Amino acid sequence: MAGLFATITAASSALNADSQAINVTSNNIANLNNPDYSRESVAFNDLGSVQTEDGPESMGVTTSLQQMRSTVLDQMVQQQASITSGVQAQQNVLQQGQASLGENITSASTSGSSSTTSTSGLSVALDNFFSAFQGLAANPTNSGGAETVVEQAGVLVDRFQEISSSLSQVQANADSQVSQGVTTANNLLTQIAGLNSQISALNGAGSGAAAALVDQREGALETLAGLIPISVQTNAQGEDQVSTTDTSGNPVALVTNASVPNSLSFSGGVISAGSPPVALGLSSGSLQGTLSATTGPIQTLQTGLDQLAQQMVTSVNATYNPTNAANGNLFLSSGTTAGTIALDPNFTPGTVQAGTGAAGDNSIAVAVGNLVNRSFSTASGDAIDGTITQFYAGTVSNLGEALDTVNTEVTDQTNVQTVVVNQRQSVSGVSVDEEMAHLMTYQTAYQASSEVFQVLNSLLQNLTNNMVSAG
Amino acid sequence: MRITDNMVTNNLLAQIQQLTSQQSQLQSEVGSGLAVTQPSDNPAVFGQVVELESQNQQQTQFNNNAGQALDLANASYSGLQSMQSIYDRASQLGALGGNGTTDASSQQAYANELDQLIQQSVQVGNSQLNGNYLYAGTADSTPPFTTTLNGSGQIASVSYVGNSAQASIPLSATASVSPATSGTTNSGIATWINSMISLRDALNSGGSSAIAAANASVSSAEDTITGAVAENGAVQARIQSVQTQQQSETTELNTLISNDTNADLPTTIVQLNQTQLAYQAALQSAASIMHISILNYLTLT
Repeated sequence: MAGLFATITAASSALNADSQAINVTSNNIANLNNPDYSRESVAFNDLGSVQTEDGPESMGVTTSLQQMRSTVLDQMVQQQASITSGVQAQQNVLQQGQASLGENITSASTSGSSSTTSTSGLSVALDNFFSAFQGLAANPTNSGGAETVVEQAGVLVDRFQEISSSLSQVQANADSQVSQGVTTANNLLTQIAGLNSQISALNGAGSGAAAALVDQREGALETLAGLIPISVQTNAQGEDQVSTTDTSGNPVALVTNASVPNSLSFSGGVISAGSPPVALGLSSGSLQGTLSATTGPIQTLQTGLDQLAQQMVTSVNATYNPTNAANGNLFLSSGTTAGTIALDPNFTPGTVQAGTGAAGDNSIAVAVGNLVNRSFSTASGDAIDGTITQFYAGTVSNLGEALDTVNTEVTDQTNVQTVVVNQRQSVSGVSVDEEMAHLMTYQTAYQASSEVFQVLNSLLQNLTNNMVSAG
Repeated sequence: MRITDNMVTNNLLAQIQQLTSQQSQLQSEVGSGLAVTQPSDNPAVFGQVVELESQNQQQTQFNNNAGQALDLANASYSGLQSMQSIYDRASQLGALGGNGTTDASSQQAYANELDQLIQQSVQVGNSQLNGNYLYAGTADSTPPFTTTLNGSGQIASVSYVGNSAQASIPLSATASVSPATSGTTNSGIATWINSMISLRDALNSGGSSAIAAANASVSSAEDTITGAVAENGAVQARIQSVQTQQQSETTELNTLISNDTNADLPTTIVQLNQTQLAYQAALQSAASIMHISILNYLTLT
């Protein structure tokens, strides 16, 4: 029979192990709502037994801590976070662009097909401008008609300028957002490198010691992945090696062991890493999403408006002032972009020309009014293709198309991310039911071990008493 | 699959978010009656609506123009009508004065009445609409008929100083109409007035052959006015037919826009009800799941 003292040691190791397990359970429950947390589980390991003269003697039990983290799922979550925040950033910028345009359809009544609808924004300003000239054509000597023409031309110019400055603002905001994002990303890289160094130091101290730091690092990696796409590899010391890719697809190291070899920078619309800067080829992440939306659809919209403004200025001036008389233009000939289009200061209700020669002549008003139906062609040197309305409708549709596509992508991508996050939750998440069941098991085991201890204690006491009475 | 507490919450939140945004979208469709309000709702339809609205706006303007053209034509017509009744009386006076039995004093009286008619004709010829002279071509800011007076203060001759251009008012992208009288008519009016002046002078001098000649020339000069009245009738008819066409086009355009943008209310309302039901179900099921856990049944000692 094994010695009583050896049994006491074994029982005490059991008490230790169970209290350790209860501690882990308590920690799991405490971190129930910590999104970075990965649940920990306790493995009980028999310390084995030794052969003594009295037979085999158990050496008790020990515990080891295991973090339930799947590297594969972590990487999937990182990738999806990158894609999701990329499309969300695009959506955000494009929504601002759409709001800047101010085009929407409103309805005067809701009684089915009899409702009258109307649009707003530049399309209305364009329509009203040409209508004002057609109205002037019907009554060329009416001073009210001339007032309307000047007023509508003013509204048109204002709308062009408002939209253009609003779009420039969207682009400026996007740029400053990217700059801030780059700063955040650099801070995260430093943080990850710091955590790497602590984790590798703690990993020597035994398994599971660095669990909390690993959770924290995973949180930082996912935030970073939201900004730029990253690829992560963990080395033997538990240090994450973070890298991204340049424009030709070659990896660029961002975190190596405990250092940040190449920090990020943003200049001239390009995100680069290191010094001298190497341009990065980003395919997802919010920084790339923001940039691609501004350089893509928003820039296309801005260009389209500039072309439209140029066409308006050139053809309206040529029609309104066919002899190219000094101070006789409607628009300032120098302002040929949406941002610079302006009325000629000499274009006032008093100087409006409805026609040439006699007072009742309306040939100019008719010609300007008819411009709305003229089809332009870039092949013959015009700035736009199709009629002015067609071109503008196409420009608006293009932006709508881009936003519509991104909206769909965001919905799809959000679903994908939910699935991946749930998969990881399934492995790493804390279940209260499960923890409570474990808690009961550990409690029972602890109580049982205590009973054993008590039995041993009374045995020893009996032994001691008997020895005293014998002596 | 192992289900953890946060998965239940995550799923619930995602579902509620999705259903709420669906509800809000459907509600705004039902509320506004429009399925498309922003470019991203339906880019193709939005582009089309912008074009249709532009056509609609033009149509409205053309309709206003047609109204103005009709006013102008009406005004021209009433002036021409006055001239015709003046002619009727003038030719009566000419016939009475030239029938060979009328004495000189009666002829004088006829000539005096004719002089009044001449003055009236000049007045009608210089009539205005909205401050513009009706029978002046496009030189409509100055009186088109100027007169020279003789020694006794009577009109000795009338000349037309307007131009021969004719403003045309656009009624559609391609069609336009000239509701005012033509240059030929306007100068014809001057000829006609001048022929009445000759008749007056012939009556004053009493030569029967001169009166007969003057009568003939008044009658032939009046043909211009009769022709102008007929022309005016044709122009008015044309404007009215364009207006009718415009009205049906406007209706057509509005129908097209409605078809493109209007929400299908019965379907939308049914969808909204379905979404509401799903939303309630999500909330209710979540509420009943979430407050149950092993803790309800465990008593730890």
